[in-house]
Amino acid sequence: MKRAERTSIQDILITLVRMALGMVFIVASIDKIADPTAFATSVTGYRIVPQGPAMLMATVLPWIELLCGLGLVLGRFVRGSTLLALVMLTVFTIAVLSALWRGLDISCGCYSQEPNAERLGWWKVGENGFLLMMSVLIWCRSRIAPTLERFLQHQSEALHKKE
Amino acid sequence: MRVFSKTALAEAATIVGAATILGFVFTGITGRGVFRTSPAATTSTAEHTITSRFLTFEEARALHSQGRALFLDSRHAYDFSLGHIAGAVNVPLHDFDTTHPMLSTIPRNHILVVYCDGEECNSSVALAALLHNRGFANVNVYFGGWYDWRAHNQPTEP
Repeated sequence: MKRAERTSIQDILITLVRMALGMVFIVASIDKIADPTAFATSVTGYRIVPQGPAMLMATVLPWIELLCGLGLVLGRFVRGSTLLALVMLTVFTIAVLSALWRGLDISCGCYSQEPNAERLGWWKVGENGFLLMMSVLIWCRSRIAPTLERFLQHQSEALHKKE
Repeated sequence: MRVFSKTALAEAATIVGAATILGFVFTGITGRGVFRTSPAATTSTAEHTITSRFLTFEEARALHSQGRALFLDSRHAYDFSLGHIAGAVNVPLHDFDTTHPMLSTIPRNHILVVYCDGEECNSSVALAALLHNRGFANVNVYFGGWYDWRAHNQPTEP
């Protein structure tokens, strides 16, 4: 009984963490989707990719963030969403570290695309590290956490049993 | 390998595929990003950033020596006080909201040249975008900036 209760609390916590991470990705995607050109400019500010590839990134990446975020919030494609979140956060963190290492004074382009908002700093590395920890936690525990898929599966099984 | 299960990879590939389709369909329908037809069609900050003209050292020097342009230094006030291009005005990007009213006396078609430290900073490009948004039609970015200007032994202050 105690074990079951503990698992239940863990389930709730993991679900909350998963939904919080999902919300972060959804919020981060909105400004980028609304203005892909501004996001492309933010990307080129990192001096890693030129304008052309940056524009392609700006076309697709925000939608990956949005779909991942929705997946994490709704509990659909949780494994794939978490895997992508891990990859994206790792790449973002490397880009931020690289920019800080080179002493670039640029805007982050993470949530807002306003040029003088969110100047890049070490706080961003800390924030990304925290989000990465959340992703790892979800990745390790997503098998036990309740998801929409699991709920639908249970509903379907219950319906079949009745029949 | 269990860590990268087929399910996770298949789901990730599905998301990336769907995102690619959605991204291109959305930008195609709305005429944004790669499908932008005309710079004048939108008024976003980045449009202005991209349409800003980047000056070479020679071009910046010519404008400076002819006195045809107003040079704007987008760095912090402290950096500006240590040294800047002769005749330049300090408009720190971080304090733009408080400092930009002083630009109201400048005609909107006046030639402006914005600069910061050099290639390691982006504040000149960002300031140029903000100036465009406030109606300045001839904003140029001297990307070589303060380092490049000093390296060529050009007039500086103080």
